[in-house]
Amino acid sequence: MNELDDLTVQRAKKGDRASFRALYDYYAPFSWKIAYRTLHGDSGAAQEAVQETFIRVYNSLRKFGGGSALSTWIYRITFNACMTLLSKQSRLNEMQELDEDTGPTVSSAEGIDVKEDMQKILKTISAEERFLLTGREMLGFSFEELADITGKSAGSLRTQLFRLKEEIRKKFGEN
Amino acid sequence: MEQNSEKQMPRAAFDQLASIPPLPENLYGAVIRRINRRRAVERTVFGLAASLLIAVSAFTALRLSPSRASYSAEIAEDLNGVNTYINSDVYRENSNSYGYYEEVLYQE
Repeated sequence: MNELDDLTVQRAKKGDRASFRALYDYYAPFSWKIAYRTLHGDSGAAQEAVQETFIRVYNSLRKFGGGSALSTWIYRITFNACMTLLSKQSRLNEMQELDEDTGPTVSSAEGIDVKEDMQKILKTISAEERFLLTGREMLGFSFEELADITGKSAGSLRTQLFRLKEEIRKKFGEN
Repeated sequence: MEQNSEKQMPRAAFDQLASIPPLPENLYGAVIRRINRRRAVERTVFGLAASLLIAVSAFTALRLSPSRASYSAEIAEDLNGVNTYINSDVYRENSNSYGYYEEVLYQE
């Protein structure tokens, strides 16, 4: 991934607001795409995740030692913010499901009609798989970068994505 | 890129995956507002903590000032002894005696 120039990053670290704005403008669009897809198109939640990401970036940028690429660090924060939001949402949903019967929910891609579109497939896969798909297919992350962000091994992510894409290919009728 | 060695996703699937609305423009303003709000809260909490610390220090200093400090038992006993002596007949007799001696001495 391309990175923002070092001078701007150093200025942002020192609290320069204009440089922080430049950093935001550079990384936020990717952060937004990750959040939007990982949170399966919930725009409000994605905005919340991006805001939370850049608040944490602002507060912790000084401590960032450069152990990984800045982009990887920022997207890891986004990924974690998404996971936190999803766990909050699932707790809320569990509480709501106790009160109302919402009918059977599709828990795996197996239950989907072949002609159903990608949006429906995205809703049935896990948040991590959505992130993997978005990060790899749309944003062009390497498996090493994805492993760094998710904390999983590159090999297992590679296998996971392979299976996922096979699944999608079947749903779209391409074998 | 590693992507070349992998099977590509169906075009239709990729297009739908990539159909994401643009980043909302007002989001940066919201980020800065939240940063400023958190900083204001932090400053208020810090200010309150500092005020509390100063108040506690001042209170402690006042409590330990010499005017309110208690004497040790030994000194208190000595002071009581002096007090009893001053108010006793012995003291009066002694001071009269000293007065007498002084008078006699000055006359000489």
